[in-house]
Amino acid sequence: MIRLINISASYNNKTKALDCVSLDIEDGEFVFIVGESGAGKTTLFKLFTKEIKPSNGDIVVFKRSLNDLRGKEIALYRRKLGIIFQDFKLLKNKNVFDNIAFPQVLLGMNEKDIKKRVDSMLSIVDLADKSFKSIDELSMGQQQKVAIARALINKPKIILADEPTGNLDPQSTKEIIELLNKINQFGTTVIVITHDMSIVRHMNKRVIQIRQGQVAKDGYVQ
Amino acid sequence: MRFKAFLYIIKDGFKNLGVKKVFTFASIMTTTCTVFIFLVVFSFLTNATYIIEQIENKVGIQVFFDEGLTEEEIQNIANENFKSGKIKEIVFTSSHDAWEKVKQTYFDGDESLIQAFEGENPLQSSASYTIYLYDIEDELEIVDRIGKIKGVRKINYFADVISIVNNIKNGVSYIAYALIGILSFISFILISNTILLTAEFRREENEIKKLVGATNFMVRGPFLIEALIIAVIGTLIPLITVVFCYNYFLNKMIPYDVLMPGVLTLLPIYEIIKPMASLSFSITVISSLIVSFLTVRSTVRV
Repeated sequence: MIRLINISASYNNKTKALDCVSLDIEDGEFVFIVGESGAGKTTLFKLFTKEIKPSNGDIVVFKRSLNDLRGKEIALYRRKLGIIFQDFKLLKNKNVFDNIAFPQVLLGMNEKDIKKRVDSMLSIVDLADKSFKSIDELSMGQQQKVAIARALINKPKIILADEPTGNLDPQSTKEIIELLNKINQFGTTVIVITHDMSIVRHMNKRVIQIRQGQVAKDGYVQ
Repeated sequence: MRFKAFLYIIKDGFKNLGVKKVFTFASIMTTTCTVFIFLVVFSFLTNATYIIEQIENKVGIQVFFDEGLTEEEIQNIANENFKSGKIKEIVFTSSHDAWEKVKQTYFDGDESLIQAFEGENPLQSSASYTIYLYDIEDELEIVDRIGKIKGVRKINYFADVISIVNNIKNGVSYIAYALIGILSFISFILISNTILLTAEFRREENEIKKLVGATNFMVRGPFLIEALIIAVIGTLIPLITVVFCYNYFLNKMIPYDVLMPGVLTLLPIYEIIKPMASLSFSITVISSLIVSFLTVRSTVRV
């Protein structure tokens, strides 16, 4: 379970991005966090990934307070998450295989196991024939699939996606959302941050709307 | 740290070298120059110290006596006057021994040359004592005291040589240390800048790595490896050059015993290669690691 307890966050001690946000996300849930630009969605994402600290409150993930994480613990925490970014954040100087393999390298896995896992991930995201392509040779949709494969390879219990379809065409958007849905069906908690209400409407999932740094709505949208 | 992850860091460190090739080259060359000067100075100082030690241990003070004194009288003078806590050893060389040594050293046993002296010993009055001291610093005092003894004709000693060697040694040291200081500073700045540029070039990549779960060491490690490689290459090049030049210098340009045949020699390369290599590698590796660690710590934040 992920628990946000009275979370507030501000930039330069002036601009308040989040104001006393409290949330519970159960294990295995699929949650959309929506809101206009500047509503505080990305701030929430950065709090989850421990890129920034809250000015107030606490986030509890894997039964641990993120405020207590220090140094190497932050890296170890991030390895347990599958993080997907709008701009993919792929390593441009590495090919598809090496990008997907990277989290496994961090864990010190041996090459044989890594190859097995990467091949399996490539099949899931339907890129089995692109293993040794360079990142620049892929379409935007394919790059996002590589990023998803990288996020999945360590079998995370939580997938965090920040505007995962922001740079994609409608067809790729549909494929990515279906892929995330499939991952969720295997029991992984999926949190998708988006401003695109069209993808939210097609799914019968929990939607948390953030407005001016506060939770405006929290419920299911048909 | 798992072995696989460690290998990844090393591989990335090598890749870093190619990111800013000109700066990497400049860093290696500056390190090379610094270490080259250090090694040349080190060879000079080690040999200068070795020569002084040889003078102290091998040469000693040579005392000659008045003509007409018998060897027995000479030995009596020595027994009465050459006793001091500062004197380590005294060795008597009779006029016969002196002539035999000259025959061996200069005539190389050539009988035709020796026969020219018709069986006479031209060094009849050359019986001498060689005095070895515990500390060469006491040489002038002992020479002064022996010079006042009745029956002593001449004293050969090397205080002047030692003084000259010491002065050159000190002069070279000061200039060399200043040069090494300046070049080390430039080298540190260049290594630091090379790392800064690589870090800037790979900023996005490092940010991605940390977001995916890389630890501080995984992100910063390649930069330490990069500095380490610069240090090792920058030490290896001058080390090989100096070893080659030193051997060439000894074998082709001057013989080992240029100063006093059979007495003073220069150190053979195998005697100084070990301290030279260990010292230069330790200094460059440790200092480059410190420089890169401080640079990376302040710029590559995870």
